Amino acid sequence: MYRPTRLENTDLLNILCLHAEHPVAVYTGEEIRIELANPAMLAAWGKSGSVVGLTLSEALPEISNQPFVGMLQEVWNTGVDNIGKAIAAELIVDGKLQLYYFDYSYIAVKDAQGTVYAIYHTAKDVTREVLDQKELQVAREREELLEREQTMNEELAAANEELHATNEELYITQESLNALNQELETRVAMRTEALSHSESRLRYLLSDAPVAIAVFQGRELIIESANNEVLEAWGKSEDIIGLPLHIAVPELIGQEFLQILDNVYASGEAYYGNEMKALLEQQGKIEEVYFNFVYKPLRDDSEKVNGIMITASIVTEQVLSRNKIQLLNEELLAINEELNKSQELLLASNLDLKASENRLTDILSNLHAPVVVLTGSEHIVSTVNQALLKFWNRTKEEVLNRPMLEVFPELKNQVFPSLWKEVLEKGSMLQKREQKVIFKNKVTGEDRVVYVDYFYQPMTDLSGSIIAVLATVLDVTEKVRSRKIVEEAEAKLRLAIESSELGTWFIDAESNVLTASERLKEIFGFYSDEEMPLEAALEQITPEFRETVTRELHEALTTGGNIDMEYSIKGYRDGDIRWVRSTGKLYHGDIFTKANFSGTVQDITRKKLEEQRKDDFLSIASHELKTPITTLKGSLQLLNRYRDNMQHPMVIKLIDHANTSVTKITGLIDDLLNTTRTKEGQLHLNYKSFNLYEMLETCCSHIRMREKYRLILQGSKDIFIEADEARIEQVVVNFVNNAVKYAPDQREIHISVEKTEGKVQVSVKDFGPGIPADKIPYIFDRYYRADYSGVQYSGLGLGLYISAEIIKKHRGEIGVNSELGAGSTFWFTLPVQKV
Amino acid sequence: MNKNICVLEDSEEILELIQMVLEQDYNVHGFPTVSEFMTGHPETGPDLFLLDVMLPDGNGIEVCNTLKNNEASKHIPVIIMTANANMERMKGLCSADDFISKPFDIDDLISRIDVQVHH
Repeated sequence: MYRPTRLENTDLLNILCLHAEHPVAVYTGEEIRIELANPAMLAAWGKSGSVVGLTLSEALPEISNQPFVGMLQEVWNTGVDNIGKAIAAELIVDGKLQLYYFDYSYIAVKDAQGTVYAIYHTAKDVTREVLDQKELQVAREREELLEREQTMNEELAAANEELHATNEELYITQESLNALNQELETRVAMRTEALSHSESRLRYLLSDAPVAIAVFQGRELIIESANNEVLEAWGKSEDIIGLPLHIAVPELIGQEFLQILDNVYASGEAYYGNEMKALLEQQGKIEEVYFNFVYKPLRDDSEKVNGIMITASIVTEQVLSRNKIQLLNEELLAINEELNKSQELLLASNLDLKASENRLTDILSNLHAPVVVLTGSEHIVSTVNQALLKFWNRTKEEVLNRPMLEVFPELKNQVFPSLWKEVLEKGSMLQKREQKVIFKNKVTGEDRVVYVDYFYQPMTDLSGSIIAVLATVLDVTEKVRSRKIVEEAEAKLRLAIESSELGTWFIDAESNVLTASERLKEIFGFYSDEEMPLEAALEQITPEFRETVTRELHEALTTGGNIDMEYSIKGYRDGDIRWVRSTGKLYHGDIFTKANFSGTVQDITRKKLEEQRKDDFLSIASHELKTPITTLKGSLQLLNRYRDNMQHPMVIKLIDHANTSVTKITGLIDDLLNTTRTKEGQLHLNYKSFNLYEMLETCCSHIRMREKYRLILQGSKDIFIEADEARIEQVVVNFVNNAVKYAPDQREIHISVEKTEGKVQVSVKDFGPGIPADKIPYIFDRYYRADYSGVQYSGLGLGLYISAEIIKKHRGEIGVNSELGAGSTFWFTLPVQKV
Repeated sequence: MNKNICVLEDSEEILELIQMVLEQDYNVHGFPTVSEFMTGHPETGPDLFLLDVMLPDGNGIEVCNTLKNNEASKHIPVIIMTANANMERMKGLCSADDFISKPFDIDDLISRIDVQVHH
């Protein structure tokens, strides 16, 4: 029989170890000296067989920071096997430090006494499986996180949208946000807790987790790990890892977080922070950052706190949004409050208004001023008072609640409807004085013209819309009528002043400023459009009157007397002397007018000349009459002395004087009588047909008898006319007498007669000095004499006036042609037949 | 020797009457116009001037004033004869010694002349 050979222990070990597929190694001693390592182990370590005999630490220096030596020494010392799965090991293989995962077993090999004399180490490289599994896990978790994030984002977006939508929704949104936050926190907390159970997971999750995660070691809070989120939130880089928190993030000093962390460390109680504000450095600036966070104490195996893990999510945006919302809410609240207040006020106002409306109606109806409220575009009479009804001559029932134009259709074509419309549409306030209104008498249909002062104003409802026209209408018809009467009177007065050519003036009693009418300026010789101050006007008064007029004017101005003066002025520009009569009165001012001194100035030059001529005439008449009377009286007195001696040679002479005197007196009296008759229209003509030539031949015998003069008669000898022969002869004698009187040195006087178209003309021509052109217009005037200064030419100066009256009475014409130095021709024409 | 009286009067009849009345006691020199009077009356000698007012070439008031303003004649009495009813106005216009209105009473004229001449 075959009896196999029993293998040596060493052979057996070699077979088992060296040919084993999985890495196998045997260590001895507390220093873990490699007694054996199969090729698979050597391959896993990346070493050669030369490492046998070395301690594990010497063989694999890279594992000095890894737990393996410690684990093996524990097995050596305790004799307890250590079997585990997927332990990570960093080994230098092919010159590179690489991470591997191994399922392992450290088996203590004991002698009979139970003393460990070797450690049997088997390992299985599960790096591939572990990595695959981890990748799978990470992918799954990432997917989950993304999903959650997505959901959260969507919810946030929706929430934000809603937040901005309406105030109330914002509230709800905010609440749901809170809920979401809560949920998120819970999830994060849960997740953190779950993670804290798994160191390996934590390591993975730490770096890229979407929440900020950091782990502090010890009470001084040395930063053991901090993921990107945390670093980002702190605004720091990875360099801070390993530093105490207060040195790594110094800006936290003074903020409450360090204290809270310390409390957590001391108490071992987790702390949940909600939307806490931290001031952190962000891109070089300290900024407000809000967090929801959990500070969770980490414990060692003995349940003693040895660190703190923080998880935090930044909720700055939400908080800021919510703060904004809060602000908005507050504002909204404030607005609401104000609105409430306004509403209350409005309510009060409404009540007031209601009361006001009633009061308005009351007030309106009691007003003395006529008032009506026209409501709406129809202008409905909604309120009207008694005063206006009286003016309208209508009863309340006739007008109330009816459109104005229905009550007064005659207003349709007048200005009012468009005015009411303007007030209603534009809110204008319109007023006008003395607007003419034509009403129709409701019975007779006759027009009734009245004048009103109106004031239209808009009335608004509570919302401020214009709903009615409040019209105040004052009847001013009487006032207008009175004024029109005054105006008419004024117009008449003005016409009278104009036609009488009166100049008018006005002196302001205070300023002494003169306002002169155009006519007044003309009278004073100014152009009608130039200024004439008072001083300039006074300057034109001739020196003999100037002082008196100035004084009287001043006295009247100060004492209030009237003035009525006649004085002469010298025209400012023409230099002509004119006589004026100036009247004036001081009018004391009242509330409407200033005190003023006003009056008129009349050009009385012609009247003055007339008066002058009259005075002269009286003087001349007196002289002319008294001269023969003096002679007569003297002659009679002397004759009386000779009464006893009538043979005295003087007696005859005295009787002649007396006779001549009486003849002269008779002639003068005849002239005066004729003048009087003419003036009174009592000049009676005794028409008869006579031969004009023959009459001319025989007249003027008194001249013919004086040898000095020769009368030469020319013209047709057979002209018969129908006229008063004696009166016509009187005219011719007057002409001839004048020729003798005014041309005493000339011998010839020519008389001519000619007939033309039913008229005859008689002319008397002298060869005297002629008449100045400026005097010709006056020579047929009554009392006019060529010479006033003396009595060079005797007579009353009535001759030509009487002649003119006689010829005019015959419907003839009279005139004179004269040239200075060449004599004058006086002529008259007469109709052949009586007209 | 009779006193000299110069009379200025344009009415021939009145002048003649005055001469008839005064010639017994006075030498009467008559002048019908102002110009003849001013050139014809003696510079010295007249004891009285009797002047009419309204004359063909002037008036007696002016003549009176001329005489009264002349040193040689200012002492000689002047009587104005006037037909003007307004005697008071006349008196204001000249400084004649007396005035007599026309028609005058010849005895009144003589006595007034006597008063002035024998003053």
